[in-house]
Parts: sequence; C-alpha cells; structure tokens
Amino acid sequence: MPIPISAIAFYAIATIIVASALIVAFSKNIVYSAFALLGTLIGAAALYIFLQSDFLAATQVIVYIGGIAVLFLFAVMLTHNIEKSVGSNPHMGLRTVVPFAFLVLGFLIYAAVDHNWNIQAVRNSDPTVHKIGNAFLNEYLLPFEFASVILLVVLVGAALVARREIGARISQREES
Amino acid sequence: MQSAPTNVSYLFLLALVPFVGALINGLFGYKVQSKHGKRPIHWIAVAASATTFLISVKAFLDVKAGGPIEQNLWPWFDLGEGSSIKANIAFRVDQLSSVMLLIVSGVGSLIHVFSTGYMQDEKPYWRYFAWLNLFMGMMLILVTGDSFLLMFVGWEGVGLASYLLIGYYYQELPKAQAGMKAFLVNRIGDFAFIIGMAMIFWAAVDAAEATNTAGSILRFADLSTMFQNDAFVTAFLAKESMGVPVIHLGCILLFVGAAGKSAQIPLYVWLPDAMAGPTPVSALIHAATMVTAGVYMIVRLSFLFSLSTVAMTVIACVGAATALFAATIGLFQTDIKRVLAYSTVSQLGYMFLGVGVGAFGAGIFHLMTHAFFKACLFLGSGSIIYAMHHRQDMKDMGGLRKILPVTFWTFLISTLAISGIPGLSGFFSKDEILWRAYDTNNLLIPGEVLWVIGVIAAACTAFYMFRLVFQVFFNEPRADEHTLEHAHEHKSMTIPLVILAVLAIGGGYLGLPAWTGAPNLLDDWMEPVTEQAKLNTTWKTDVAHGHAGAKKEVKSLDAKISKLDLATEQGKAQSGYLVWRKAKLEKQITTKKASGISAFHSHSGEFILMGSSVLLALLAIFAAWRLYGRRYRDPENERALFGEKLHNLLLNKYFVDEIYAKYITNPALAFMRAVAWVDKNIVDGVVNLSAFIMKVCAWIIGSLDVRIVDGMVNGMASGCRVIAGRVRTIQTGRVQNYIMAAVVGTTVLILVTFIV
Amino acid sequence: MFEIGLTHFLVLTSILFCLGFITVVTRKNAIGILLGVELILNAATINFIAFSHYVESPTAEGFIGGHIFAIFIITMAAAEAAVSLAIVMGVYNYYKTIEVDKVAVMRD
Repeated sequence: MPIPISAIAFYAIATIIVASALIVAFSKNIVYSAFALLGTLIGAAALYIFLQSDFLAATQVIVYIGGIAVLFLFAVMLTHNIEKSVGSNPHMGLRTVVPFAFLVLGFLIYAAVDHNWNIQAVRNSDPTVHKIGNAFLNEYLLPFEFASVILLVVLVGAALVARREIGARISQREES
Repeated sequence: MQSAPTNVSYLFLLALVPFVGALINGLFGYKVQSKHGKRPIHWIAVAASATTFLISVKAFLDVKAGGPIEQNLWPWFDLGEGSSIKANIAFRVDQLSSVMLLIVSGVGSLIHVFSTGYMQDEKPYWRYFAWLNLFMGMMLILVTGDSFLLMFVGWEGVGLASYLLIGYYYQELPKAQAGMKAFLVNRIGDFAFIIGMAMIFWAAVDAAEATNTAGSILRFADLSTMFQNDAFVTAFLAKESMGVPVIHLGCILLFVGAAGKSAQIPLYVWLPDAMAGPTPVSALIHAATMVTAGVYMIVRLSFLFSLSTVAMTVIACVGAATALFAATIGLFQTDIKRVLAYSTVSQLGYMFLGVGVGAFGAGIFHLMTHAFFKACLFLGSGSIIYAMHHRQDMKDMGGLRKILPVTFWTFLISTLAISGIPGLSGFFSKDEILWRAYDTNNLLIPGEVLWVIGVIAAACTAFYMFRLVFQVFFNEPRADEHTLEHAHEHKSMTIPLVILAVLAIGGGYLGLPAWTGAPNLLDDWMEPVTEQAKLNTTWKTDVAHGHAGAKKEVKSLDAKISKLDLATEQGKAQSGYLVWRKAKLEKQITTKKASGISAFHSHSGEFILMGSSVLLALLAIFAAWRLYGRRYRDPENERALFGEKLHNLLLNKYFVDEIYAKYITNPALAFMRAVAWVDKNIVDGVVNLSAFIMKVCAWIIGSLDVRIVDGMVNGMASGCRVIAGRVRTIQTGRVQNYIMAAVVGTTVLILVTFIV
Repeated sequence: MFEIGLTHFLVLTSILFCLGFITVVTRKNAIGILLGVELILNAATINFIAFSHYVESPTAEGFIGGHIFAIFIITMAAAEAAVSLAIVMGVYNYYKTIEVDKVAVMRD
C-alpha cells in the first residue's frame, strides 16, 4: 500500500522539530541553540498548517518567530562574548536528568498510546479566522481584554527594568 | 473486814511534793548552787521531805479514825466491760501503808537533815538532794499504790534512784560499777517478779471468770476481797502450769523479786558493794526503806502467800539461811560500812523468816525497829567517817569514845537494840519472830530448825556488832595526829542520831509480846490487813490450847462442805478451798504435843525460848569484850586466833562474788562477745555488703545513664545536625533544581499510583 | 503508523516537552534556560491544537477553545520572553556574566 503523503509530511516536519529541539537542548553554543529554536518554531508552524489551523500558523510565524525568536537572538548577541561562543552554553547535571527525562517521556508516551481518545470521524477543515474572531468578541471577551492589560503591564515593566540598566550603562561608558 | 474506804484528795501530794523537790533541784540546782550556795538546795529538799512526813501523819490519823483512805486520780487502762483487768492511777493508804509511810517519810526526813551536814563538802550537792527526793517520791508511790502496776512503778523507780545514788561518785570506776551491779542484780529479781505477777494475773483472771466475781485483779483491795470468796480461791488453787500449781510458782517468783530488792540469797551481792555510795544513802535506802520493799510486798499479798505452804517454806528457809550466812560474813570485816551492810542483809533475813512462818505483823514490826536502829547505826558510822575525813577502815579508828560522844552513845544504844537486849526495840521484834518461827505449824519443815538457825545468827550479830563498837570507840586512837585534831561532830548529824536512838528504845513498845499481858499495838493495828492470812496459818500453840477453836472451825467447814454437792462441777469448784482448809486444821488437831517443850499451853514456853536467846546474845557480847575490849586486833591477829582458813573464808565473803563472776558473769560476757562478733561481722557484714552492692548498682546505672541515655540524647542531637546539614542542601535557591524536583515528585506520584 | 492520528502528535509533543525539560534543568546559560521554556510552551500549544483537531467537539462547527488557548499561550510567551530578557540584560550589566551558577549569590 502506498504511504500517504500526510504521513511523509508529518514525519518530515516531526524530524525537523525534534532535530532542532535536540540542538537547542544539547548544543554547547548559545547561538546555535537560539537558531535551532527558530527551526523548531518553523516546524511547529508547519504542524499547525497540517492541523488545518490557518490563523494560528500565521500567528506563530509572525509573533513567535518574527518577534520572540528575534528577541532571543538580540539578547544572545548582547550578552555574550564573541570570542568564547563555543563554550557559552554549558550543561550541568546531564547525567542525572537525561535518564529521568526518559522516564518521564516513557510515562507520557504510555499515557498517550494507551488511552482511548475520543476521536471524531469527520474532522473539520473550515477556515478558523472567522470562528476565532467571533469567539474573541463573544465568549472569550474577558480573557481577551485581560490579555491586553497584561501586555500593557509587560510593556511598561520591561521598559522600566531595561531603562535603568541602559542609564547605568551610559554612565559607565562616560566614566571609562 | 475492812470498812469501806473513804476518798481523800491529798494523797497525790505524797508523790508530787518529793518529785517537785527533785525537779527543782535537778533542773535548777546547778545554777542555784553556783549563785547562792548550798543553802537553798537543802532547804528545798528538807522542806519536801518534812512536808511528806506531815502528810503521812495526817494520813495515819485519818486511817486511824475511819479506815483505809484512797484517792483515785485517773483511769489507766480498762480492758472493757466484764473484764477483770482494770487499773487506775490511784493511791490507797490502809493500816499497813500508813505504818510504812511514817517510817519512810520520818526516817527519810531525818536522813535529809543529816545529809545537809555530811555532804556539805561535796560539789554536786544539788544532784544528791535531787536524787534523794526522787527516791522518796518513788518509795511513797510503792507503798501507796493501790494496784500491782503502780506498786511496780515505784518498785522500779526506787531501783533507779538507788542506782543513781550509789553511783553518786561515778567519777571513780569501782563506785560506778557498784551502782551498775545494784541495778543489774535488782533487774534479775524484777524479771522474776514480772513473771510471777503474770502467773498470778493469769490464774486470777481465769478464776474470776469461772466464778463470775467482779472487780479488778490488779487492785490489791479488790483482789483480797476476791480471795475471801471460797469458790474463787478454789478455782485459783486449781490452776496449774506444767503440772505445778500456779500459786506456788507465782509466789516463789514474786519472792525472788523481793529477794532481789531486799538482798536475800542469792541476790544479796549488790548490797555490800552499794556501800560505795554516800553513807546517808546507805542509811536511807539500804537500811530503812528500799530493802524493806520486798517485805512490804509480801505482807501486802499475805492473803495470797498464805495459801501456798511451799512458797512460805521457801521464804522462811531462805530468810533464815540468809540471816545466818550474812551474820557469819560480818564477823571479820574491817570496813565499818561493810559490817553494817552484812548486818542489814542478816536482819532482812529475819524479816523474811518472820513473814515466811506466817507472822506478818511481826515481820513489819521488825522492819520498823530495824529502820530505827539501823538508820541510827549507819548515820553514826557516817558521823565517824566524816570526822575521820572519809576513812572507813577500822584500823584507822579507835578511842573515839571521848572525841565523838553523842555518836558513841547513840551507836551503843542501837547496837544493844540490834543484839536483842531486853528493854530495847530490837529485842521485842526479833524475839517475836523467833518465837513465831518455833511455834509455826504451817510449813513443810519443823519450825524448831528455823529457830535454832535464827538464834545462832542472833549470837553472831551480837558478837560482830560489839566487835565493831570496841574496835571503833575503845582503846587508844590509831588515827594520825592531823585527823584527830579536826575530828568533831556536827549538829546536823547529832540531832537525827539522838532522835533515832530514842525511837530505837521506844519503838519496841508498840509490839509487846503476849506474855507481858499488854496489848500488841502493832499487831492489832495491822489486823485488818493480816486477818485473811491468819485464817490459813496454823500455830503449835493453837494445838496446845486445846483443839476447841480448831474443832469448832472444822465443824463449820464440814457443814459448809456438806451443803455443796461434790459430784457437780460447781460443787467441786466451790469446795476445793474449804476442803484444803479443813485438811490443814485436821492435821493440826492430830498433831501430838509438839516435840520438846511441853508447856505450850501457857506463855512460859515463849518465855523460856526468849530467855535462851537473850542468854546466848549476852554470852556473845561477853566474848567480844574479852577479845576486843582491851586491845585492837588487826586481821593478822584474828587469823592467828581463829584459824587461817576460817578467817579467809569469811573475810572474803565465801568467795560468792568470785563464784558468780566465774560461773555466771563470765559466761554471760563471753556470750555477749560472741553475739557482738556475730553482729559486727555478720550482720554488719551483710549491711556493708548490701551497701557495696548498692554502690556497684549505682555505678552501673550511672554509667548507663551517662553513656547510653546521654549517648542517645547526644546522638539524636548530632544526628539531627548531620541530617539537617544534608537536608539543608535541598534549598539550592536555583529554580532549575526546583523544577527538577517538581517533575520528579510528579513522576513518583504517578509511579506510585499506577504501580501500587 | 502511517495514518496520522492524535497519538502521533502526542508522542511528538512528549518528546518536545522532555527535551525542553532537559534544557531547562541542565543549562547554565540563562538564555539557554529560557529557550527550554519556549520549547515546552510550544509543545503544549501543539498539543492543544492537535486535540482541538482530533477530539470530538460538542458543536458541529468544532470546539474553538483550543485555538483560543493557543493564541493566549503565544501571547503570554511573548510577554514572558520580553520581561525575562530584560532581567537577563540587567543581570549581564551588573555581573558581566549570565551563567546561573556564577550569579547564585543568595545560595550561600
């Protein structure tokens, strides 16, 4: 029987994600880890498309990759010594944690495989933008507003936290 | 029969006043003496004793007027309803007690006065008078106590006072030992006394229950009333212990107690040694009062003793033997006080001889006259000793006739009295006893034997007493110049001597013998006390006077017995005593005319006996005059004269003390040493061993406590510290660790839930 | 195996989650830790969407709550990343290093 294209697609995307995640977890170079995160996020976006959630895939790419990942890269650039990029992301206590993580993994996989999920026969493949918009303004209005408040707070707070340091940095520069 | 006793309220003073005197002198005497000298001390003491004499006179007059008087102070114990064992703290003065009271307090007061002079150079003056008053109080309790128990209190009390007074010079060991000897020998007697009392109580209680008589067996008055009940007496006589009737055992044991107190064989050994005490003490205690307690007790219980022929025989024999024994020892003694001591023992023997044959009145009579002349003799010797600067050996004396005249004349009078010279008191009393001894038909041995012993003893008495007089007062003085210069008589001493000498002469007229036709005042006075005993004693003269009296008595007894049914228990119970009396009288009736002197139906028999004893006494005095009147003979001389062996034996008092020491004291001491060894090594060893074990256990427990318990505690503490140190590291402060921990925890939880 | 079902997604997200967990717990670099957090968040988001797609929903249109939640996750992730990176900058300015064991002043 021929392998369905969905399976190939899925496995390819899964490989990308897992490989990137491995690099994030085990690389000794922080820059590599940061870029690998990029890869994971792209993979995740691909998965969203696979799962027929169009809006979310777009959101993922724009916000996560375009915003958060870039932010991470900025932070990496600002906080590390260029000469020493190789040993800039060391590990500690790998030996204890990895077997344990395998154990946890085992549990999760067992739970996933063993359970009889209530799978629906026919899956919906309507575009979701319309539904999400409706939901945000009808059922999930409060969380929506709340999230906007949080974002405002975060904005102010981050600015506050960062500002002092910049001020200190400038004064330091002027002293030296 | 006695009339019902009257209640008075002053009898307690007899005991209280001397005790108060003793207390004051005892507690405050030292201070008073150091501040104010000796005067207040003897004023208090003499006042106390004089007061008791006055009270005794009042008591005597009251008894004379209305019969016995008594005073009931407090109940002592009572074993309940229907029990015959009851005793109170109560005093009772009847005819016998009143005589004793007068003697004790009268002679005692005179001796108090004498002591003020004799003891004036002594430092612990106050102690002497305190004990002397104590003695008076105790003796008065003895003679006025209305029950066995109170009498016994006084009995023990005088023993104590005697010990304290004999040991007055306790700083010298032999004198302290003399006091202890007196107390110990006394104690042996008291032991027998207590057992005897217990036996009497036992029999009396049983008899009282059997016959349902009321009253307390402890009270003398009640007991004597019970003994008037024939049924009671029968029940009492029937009581046996180990096959021997209790009455014999009890009376003999009581007599042993009396022998201890009154210095009879074998318990007389303390009296000669008691001369270590001051001379007035010897006069009071060992002549006039304490030693007479035994005689008093027997006369008080005459109704009891007269029922036991065995006991009476024992008493009479021991009395006679003691009289002779002591008299022979006194023959060659060189110490004045020793001579007088043995003389006292001998005269006490006479008293017991008297009461033993049944002449209770005569015994008390001799007690009284002896008190007078013996006290006079002792006080006289005290005067001599004081003049001779406390020397007592006759070799240092001699020729004191001119130097101490009053002493000499009073001494001479008393010596004549003790020798039994007619006209003086000793003659009347001693002769009464000897006559009665001859006359008795009451004992298991013929009375004639006792009479012979008594007469020989009288002869010896006369001999050694005059030997004493000649050696001390006649011939050339043997003392040194210095002593003779200072020798003089003291007024406080001579006055009592004179008074006593007068009494020694006049006291005899209270008990004139029957042949003079005059009434025997003392016997008549004592009648109510002794009449019960008289029923049970028989005399040879009664035999000779025709059996009319006896035959009538037998007839009445027969009538009484026939009324009872001898077959029944009750009949037997009531008839026993009557049958006993009847048998006695019948024996009397069938006694043929007494052997020897046939003129018993008149008083001439008595007269002849009396004459022979007087003759013997005069011969003895003559012999003493011949031997000692012209010259002094020292012990060497006497030994040459009388024979080495005899002199040695008598001078060393038959080595009795040595025999006692060898066969009684030393084994007892050896036993004591053995017991002490056991106690020291074994008992103390056990105690020490247990203490040692205790120490070991304590050490074990201690180290357990230190090592294990403390170890545990410390271990826990350090364990806590160690664990805490390790656990502390959980808090790393790192979020990564916390996340790890959270996931681990969740995993574990899931594991547990799924697998378990 | 070739018919992609919910299970496949769950296994994938589990792997992602564990890798993210390893990253969080073992990294010394602060930013490395934050990368791990991002991985975990992503795994959760994928899970949500997978469930939203595969599991029966009460309405015919399908349950949109999964998507909504995923949007919120992304939003919060952004917020959190902003703040935490500002803090990391501050720490870097003061200590000149962002390795967590060198900055563990309070531990001692």
